[in-house]
Amino acid sequence: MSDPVSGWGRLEIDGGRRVFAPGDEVTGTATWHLPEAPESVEVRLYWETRGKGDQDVDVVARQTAGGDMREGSFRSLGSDGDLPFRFRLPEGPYSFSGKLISLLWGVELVAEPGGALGQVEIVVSPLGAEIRIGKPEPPA
Amino acid sequence: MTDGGGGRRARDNPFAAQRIDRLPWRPPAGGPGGDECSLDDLLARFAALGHRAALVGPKGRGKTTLLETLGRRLEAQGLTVRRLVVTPHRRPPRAELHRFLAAPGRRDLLLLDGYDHLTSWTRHHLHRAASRAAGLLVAAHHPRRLPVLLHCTSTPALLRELIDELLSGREAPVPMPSAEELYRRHAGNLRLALRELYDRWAGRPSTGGSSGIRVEDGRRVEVEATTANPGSLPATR
Repeated sequence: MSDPVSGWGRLEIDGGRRVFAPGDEVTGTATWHLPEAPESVEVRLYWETRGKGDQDVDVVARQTAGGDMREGSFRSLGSDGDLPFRFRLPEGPYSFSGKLISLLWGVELVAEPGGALGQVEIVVSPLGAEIRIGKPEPPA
Repeated sequence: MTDGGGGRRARDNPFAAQRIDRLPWRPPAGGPGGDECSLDDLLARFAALGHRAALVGPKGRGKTTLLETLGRRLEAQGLTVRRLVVTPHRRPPRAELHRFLAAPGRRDLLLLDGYDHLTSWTRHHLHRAASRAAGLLVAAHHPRRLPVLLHCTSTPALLRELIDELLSGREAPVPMPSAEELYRRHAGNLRLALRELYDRWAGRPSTGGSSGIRVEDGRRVEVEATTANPGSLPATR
């Protein structure tokens, strides 16, 4: 996700890895280039659902740089910067897809102000792949 | 339970709810007043109505989408928007209702989806709060005490436009009914029509609007709907 006018962000997961088992560590680096220094940037580990019904989203973990001066955690950020991140995946839920609903895991980079700058989808599964639910389609 | 087979995944379905929710509002092409309801027109009309008005219409005509779109535009104009959604199946918790109604200021706009589902007590307090706020904009089936900003309508042409945008040139894996047939079958309810397309794409028996569960007096009652009575949406999970 990038925009030469409003800036860009990038997430790189170490080793280019995309598939993880529950309990694994997800490590990498978030990089941003913005027209102005943001007040804060945050890397989020989340899962979301997609499908016929309303979407559910859960931000499981966050790593923040910068922050609110009122909270006493302020550290000034530059318009260009990077933030290493490290998350320990929970035991679930697993990435899965059926016809009615899919559950996807991802890591996203958000700047304030600026909004979402980038995201990377990952698979969390004990089987090394997204779990497929439902009957297989008959061969064409 | 896993399978290694094929099958059309929910995440890939072009008619997934998240994709539908991101569709921008547009006036129905060829519909009544379609040439007179640009967003700028509606915002000007809202101001002329003293920033107190209702979007009205039956289910599935885009009231919620338009309500949110206008809310974002009014936020961009500097107002602070408070939002509340009330449905027959979801009464907001007391704390959420209190936050919505509590001491609005002159820069606060109250945005309410589901005006019809308020109790008379809540409606009374809503109007009291709105008298101190910058404005009140609701989505409802009936306007009651509020002037109508727009009667939201739909047309087969609008449904066709939405389908084309969701498909984005993708070819459907199965035969799909025409927009006109869908529109007729679901009595103009665009959301139900698109939900039927979700099921068809997924290769599921369509439950779009042909049956559903309705909550009546706290009990879940099975409803067999007709095109004249699309009924409530079926449980999805």
